[in-house]
Amino acid sequence: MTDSQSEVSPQPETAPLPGQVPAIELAAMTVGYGGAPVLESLDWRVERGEHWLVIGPSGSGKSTLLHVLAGFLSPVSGTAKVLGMDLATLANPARDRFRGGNMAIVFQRQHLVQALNVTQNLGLARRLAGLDPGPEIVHSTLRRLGVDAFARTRPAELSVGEAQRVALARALVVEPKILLADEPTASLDDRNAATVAELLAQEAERLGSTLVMTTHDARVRERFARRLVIGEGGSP
Amino acid sequence: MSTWGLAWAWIRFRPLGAALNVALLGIGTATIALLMISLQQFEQRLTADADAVDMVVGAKGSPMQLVLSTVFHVDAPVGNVPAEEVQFLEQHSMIKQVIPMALGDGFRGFRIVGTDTSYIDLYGAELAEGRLWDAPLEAVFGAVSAAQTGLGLGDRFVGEHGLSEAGGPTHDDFPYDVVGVLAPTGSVVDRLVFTSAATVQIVHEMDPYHDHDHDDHVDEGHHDDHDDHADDAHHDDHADEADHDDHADDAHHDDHADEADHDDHADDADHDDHADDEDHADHADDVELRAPEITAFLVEFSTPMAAVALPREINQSTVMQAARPAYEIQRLLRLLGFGADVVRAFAVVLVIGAVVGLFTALFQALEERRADLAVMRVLGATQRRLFWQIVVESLILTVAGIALGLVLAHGVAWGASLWLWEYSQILVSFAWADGEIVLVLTVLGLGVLAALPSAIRAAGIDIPRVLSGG
Repeated sequence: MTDSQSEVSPQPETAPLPGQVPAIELAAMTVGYGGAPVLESLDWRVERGEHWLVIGPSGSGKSTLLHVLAGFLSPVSGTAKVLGMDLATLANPARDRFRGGNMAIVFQRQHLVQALNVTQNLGLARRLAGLDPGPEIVHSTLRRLGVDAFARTRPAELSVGEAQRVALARALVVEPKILLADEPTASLDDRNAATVAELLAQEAERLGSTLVMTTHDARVRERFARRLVIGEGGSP
Repeated sequence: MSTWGLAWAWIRFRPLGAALNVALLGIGTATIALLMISLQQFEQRLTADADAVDMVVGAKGSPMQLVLSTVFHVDAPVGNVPAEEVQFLEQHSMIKQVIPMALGDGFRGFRIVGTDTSYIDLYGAELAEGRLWDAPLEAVFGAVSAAQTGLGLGDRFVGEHGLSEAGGPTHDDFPYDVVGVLAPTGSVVDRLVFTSAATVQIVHEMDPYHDHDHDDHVDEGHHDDHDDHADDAHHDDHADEADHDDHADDAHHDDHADEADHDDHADDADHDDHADDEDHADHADDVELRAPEITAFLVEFSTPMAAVALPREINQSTVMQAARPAYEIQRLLRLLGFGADVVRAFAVVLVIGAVVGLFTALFQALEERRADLAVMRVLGATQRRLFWQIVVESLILTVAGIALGLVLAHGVAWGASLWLWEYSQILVSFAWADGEIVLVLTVLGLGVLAALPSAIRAAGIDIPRVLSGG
């Protein structure tokens, strides 16, 4: 069982537009595996364009929360709405298309398709999101993230830091409304961790995307004003 | 990146394994396809040669040997047919045409066929140059026999006794004149040398070699009928020829010596002429007038009813046997079919082995790509898309294997056709065999089947577990 607590630093509020549905809205949501709840009675509201950090120790349910938001898991009780859509009510293909069309996820491990080069990895993401190949967008995204020199390079030839920036580019190239990042800096050194966290925040800001990043990495905590703290054993 | 593009990228990512899958499928497919092409070609050639002949009538013995020796010219003749039985055929109401065939000699491995020119019409052969034979000791070559012996219009040659390719003693006193060469037909006609039936009779009965080498004839199934010779005036005519003494010990000639009319002929004016004659062609002119001894008759029916009634009638009421080429071919193909089935079974095992290899490769690749597939789901790919992604990869490999197999099979068939044309002017098609489309669809189906377990597993991949490293 996990308790949670929202913390908001004194920063300018992102005021919701009248009539606009929130990016994320959890209401008394409980989720777990095999009958054992991991997150229980969680209430959380994220307005569009807000950047949130989800923090908590390992095993506290940070990744589980992202899996619910991505539609990989359904709540046991309560509701989880993303862009006003209760994903649990959607059939699998519709949920996949909704995810592809609205969200992007960055993982701790890059999970790039090894058989494709960097450009092709980004092209595949656009294709699966139902977008045109958009070679110009692909190229400009790579350039913004400083990895355009690796456009024809296979993932196996990249360093971890380069690969993570390419993974970030793949997430951004579909111009997602919601950007989920699951411990994206955990396997990076300080310099790369700082760069990736900075790029995530900058690009999400540029695209107007809602950013939710889970981490237990103290190096990036201070960059986010909004934090959802998920404790373990009832401790915030 | 489309489904096909990604499948191709994955294939290129493991080139050695993919090449092995394609090669195994290709070899299996090629073996079956080549077998199909070969069998069809073989059957078509047999059928084409035999279609022209409704029935063969010859001496009693093996019906298949009779057909093989007289229609396909690949076996020793069974024996000879009495002349009076020939009249039975010629006068029969169910018979439209009777073509005589006299066999026994060859030239450099090519058979000399004594027949009439209707044999040429039977196979629709046409002259490339010269004319057809119309006198004794005139010969016409088929396209292959002419090309391989190097003989042409105006050349002379002597026949070799017997039908083996190694040849035998030659009939030096009876040289043939080549008066024509036939255009290629793609049939057995191409590999024969034609002359009149009477010429064969002349060469055999007037050449002293004929009796010396009688045993050879027996071995080849060419049984001269001694009783017929005993009644044959021909021997009496030549009783005092210069070479007669050579035959003194021959039982056959002893019989003649006791014949009542022998002395009468000894004083015959005609005989004297022969005794001094140096030109054997004159002998030939005389012999041609007599009823020839014939190896077999090719028969064309005048009514379809004959196919049922006539063979039975001939087999039961004459000293001859009738054999139907169409029936004997089917019997031959059934006999050969067992061998073909063994090869086919071997090829099927090859294909199944290749498909199992493909299944294993796809399954192994799936394990290596679980993260790729999970990420694709994260990026918006549906379960159906992942299912087809695996099937498409299998399809590409299978189609490549099939294409390789067909190219190999038809390439070998094409090479064989060039070789056969170069060396024997045999026309062999490397076109599609009838069953090849079934083969292609079957292998394609097996390729899809091999992909199904992996495709189902891909569609049901547990995204969170895979992406969290589980």
